[in-house]
Amino acid sequence: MAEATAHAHHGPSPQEQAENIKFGVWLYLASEVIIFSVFITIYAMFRAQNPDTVFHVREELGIALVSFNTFLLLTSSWAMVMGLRAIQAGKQRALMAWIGLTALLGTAFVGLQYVEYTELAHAGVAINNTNASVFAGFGMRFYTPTAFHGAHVIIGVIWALWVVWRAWKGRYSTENYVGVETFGLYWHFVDVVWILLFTLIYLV
Amino acid sequence: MTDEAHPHHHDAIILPGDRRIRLPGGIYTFVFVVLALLTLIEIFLAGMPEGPARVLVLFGIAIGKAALVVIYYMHLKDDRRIFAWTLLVPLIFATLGGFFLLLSPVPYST
Amino acid sequence: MATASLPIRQEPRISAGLPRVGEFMRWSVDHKIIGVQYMVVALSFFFIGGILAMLMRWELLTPDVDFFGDGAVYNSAMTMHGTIMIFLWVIPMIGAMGNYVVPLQIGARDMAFPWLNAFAFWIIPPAGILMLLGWLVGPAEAGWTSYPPLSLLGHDGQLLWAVSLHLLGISSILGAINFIVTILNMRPEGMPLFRMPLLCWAVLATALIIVLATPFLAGALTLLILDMVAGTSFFIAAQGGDVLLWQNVFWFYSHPAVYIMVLPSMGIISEVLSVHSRKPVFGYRMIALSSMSIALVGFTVWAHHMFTSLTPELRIPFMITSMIIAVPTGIKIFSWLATIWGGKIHFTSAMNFALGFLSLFLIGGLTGVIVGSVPVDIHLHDTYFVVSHFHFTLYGGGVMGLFAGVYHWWPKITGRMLNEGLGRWHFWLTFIGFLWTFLPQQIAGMMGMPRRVATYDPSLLIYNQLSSLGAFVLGASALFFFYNLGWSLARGRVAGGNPWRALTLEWATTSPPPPLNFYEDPVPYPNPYGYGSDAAREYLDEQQRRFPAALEAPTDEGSTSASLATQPAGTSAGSSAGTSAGQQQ
Repeated sequence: MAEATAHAHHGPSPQEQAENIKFGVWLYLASEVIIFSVFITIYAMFRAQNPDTVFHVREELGIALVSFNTFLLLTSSWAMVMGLRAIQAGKQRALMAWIGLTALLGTAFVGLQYVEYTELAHAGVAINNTNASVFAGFGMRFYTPTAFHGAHVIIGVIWALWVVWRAWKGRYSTENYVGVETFGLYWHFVDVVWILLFTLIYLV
Repeated sequence: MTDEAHPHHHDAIILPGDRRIRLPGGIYTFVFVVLALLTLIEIFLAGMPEGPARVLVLFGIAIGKAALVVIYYMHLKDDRRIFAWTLLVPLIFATLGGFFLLLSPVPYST
Repeated sequence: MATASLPIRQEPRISAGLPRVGEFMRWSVDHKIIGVQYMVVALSFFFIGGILAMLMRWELLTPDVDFFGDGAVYNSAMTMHGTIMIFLWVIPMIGAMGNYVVPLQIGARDMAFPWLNAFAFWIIPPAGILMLLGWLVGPAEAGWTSYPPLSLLGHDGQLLWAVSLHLLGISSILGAINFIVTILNMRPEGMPLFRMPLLCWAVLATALIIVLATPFLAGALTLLILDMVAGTSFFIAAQGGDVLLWQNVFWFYSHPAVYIMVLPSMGIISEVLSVHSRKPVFGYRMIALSSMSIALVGFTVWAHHMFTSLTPELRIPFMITSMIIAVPTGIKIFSWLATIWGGKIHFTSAMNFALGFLSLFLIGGLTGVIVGSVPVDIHLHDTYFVVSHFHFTLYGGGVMGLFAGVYHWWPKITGRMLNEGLGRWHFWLTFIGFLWTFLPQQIAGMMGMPRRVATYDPSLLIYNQLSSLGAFVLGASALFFFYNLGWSLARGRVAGGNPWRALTLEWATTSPPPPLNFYEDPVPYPNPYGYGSDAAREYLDEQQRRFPAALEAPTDEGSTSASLATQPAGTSAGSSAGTSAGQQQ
């Protein structure tokens, strides 16, 4: 029947749509690469031209806290991918546990970043340091990329909780886990950005 | 997609020389361990004296870590080729733009 | 499925009927509704931006500030004119054309992400209103390029301008992601990439630029907004900022963006020239690939906007890349000329505008080579020569192409033909008015008249008065266009499925198409531009029988797939004239 076939082909199949969604998320990440690169470059320019200011800040801050935080985020990425692995094997509860852990680690990361910001603020590193300050020009170039990244982590935590909620509702299965996979793409991307930011801002 | 498309379901990891190790979580856990070790090395190197070599090694490690996450955790290794291009092209543009800004002479001074 | 060229013989259908007006006023995920929504919003802003241009030309009738009373008011009109025309007219028109036509051309039922599509559209009206609201708090006055420190000295309207632009950027990125996935993933069998209609290639190239370039603007705008509200000084040199940084990052985006503005029109005229001259596209592959190479090379030329502010050593490299980009553009121009060469040209309004594009965009391109050469640019930088140059590319190119597209696809969108007589008036007034406006500006520019200023040296009076008179003609021409649209809706001839006898898939259904576009799985004709062959004629004849302009008597009540088709729209108006609707070839 002509009508029946027409209805059968009204849209992409679930597999095709899953591919579409993944491609869409990759393209979104492509645009994120560019916008992060603007902030990263601006910090790199400052680091190249004003090394003394940067070292001064590092003496104030140390790297213990941020190193711990980096491990939190790395672990969260691992938890994320273990969650995906769980649902690919059809394990609903394991999925919820792993993604829940991801959200928890992400929240801890943001919390510790807040602690770090507070320390920096006490030391006098502000977003609007003027030429008179020893930290002149550092604050805005530091806070912008890290806060932008932090905002991505916060959104990621919310997204993770949403994935947990949907998992609880039984929306994912061995055949249908693109929702987990796309959240994973986002979360790992945020992790990758942190890997670069950590090295550039705190180590180099 | 069939199960064969997900080789990571098995806990075994094949190392160079056809040796296998078993690890809960398979390659994902293995990559996590590598990432953690690389991060420790980075933190150690951060205490080393200043110099271009230190900068290069640190960035090298960071790029290696990022590549591990992208290849294994974001599945670029097994996924469609076009996803890799989707990531590479903006990376190239961003890198070129960034290096232009970093290296172009400043026509004024403050 | 093989690439069968003949549709299965079925009951004839005339029209799925236009959706009710209310459908266009609310959230809808149908790409056709969204396409029309984009078009209506874009045309509204085109009207506003046009009014601003008229006011500016009125001011420039005399060398002194008189009409606006204050140079700052002129500056805000100039800023809003530029921003509106670029971000609220030309770029949303990509959304309009792309949304309506691309899914139809590739035989898809809708875009890949219908919800996202609607979301991307609905960002635009609030963002546009936000920008206009600037007038209440002191409007933006720093030009569409918004260079600091000027943009940091202005009123709160400058902040609204920046926020609005940020929102528009998000909208266009989301739209572009949708286009890329749709075009690459949702083509039917029988349509490999290199048999895809050229509009799809152009939209694909445009969307790639949008995804890769617009985030640069988003980054720069974020920093600009922080400078305004958070006390940072990224762009304030006195506080350790870097004014050149804005220029660089802004042009990282905005030079590729000029190709965002013109590539869709290039795609449109590739369709129009071939269909209305009944000839296959010459150099299909080269036109498709040159779109991609323009997209790529477009990323390497930005600093030619900064010849006078950049460090001198970098001028020559950017001059060279700027010259290189003329090559793919030249390939396109010659391919288009070869396409119509020896063709059976129908001087329809769509064709007129496509030919207008060819001639005016050529001048735009050539003046681009002139301002792209460093020694000349040092003299011409920031003069009216530049104003004239980019109007030749963006109006003479981009907008003429968009008009061609509207004349070409309006019958598909509404089911009604536009009035060709009014269309001819519109075209000739536009064409003459355009040259009349912008040729004197070239002379004024060469004589040193700076852009963006309400006053000028009295010796330049004659050029400005000429330009203003031309601009009023140009403004009047748009009235014919708007009147024509209304006329067509009220009394236009019923179009039928394929009034131009075109081979691409959007015509293989009724006008307007039903909610999910096609009545059976669409099978693309093997060569989308294979005009002139007997097979094509047969295919089109069959299509004409299947989707005629009108029926003697509507007969298909109760047939199996009638649920998708509604009553023929406007049979009374079209029954007599319909049989001869747009017969070509």
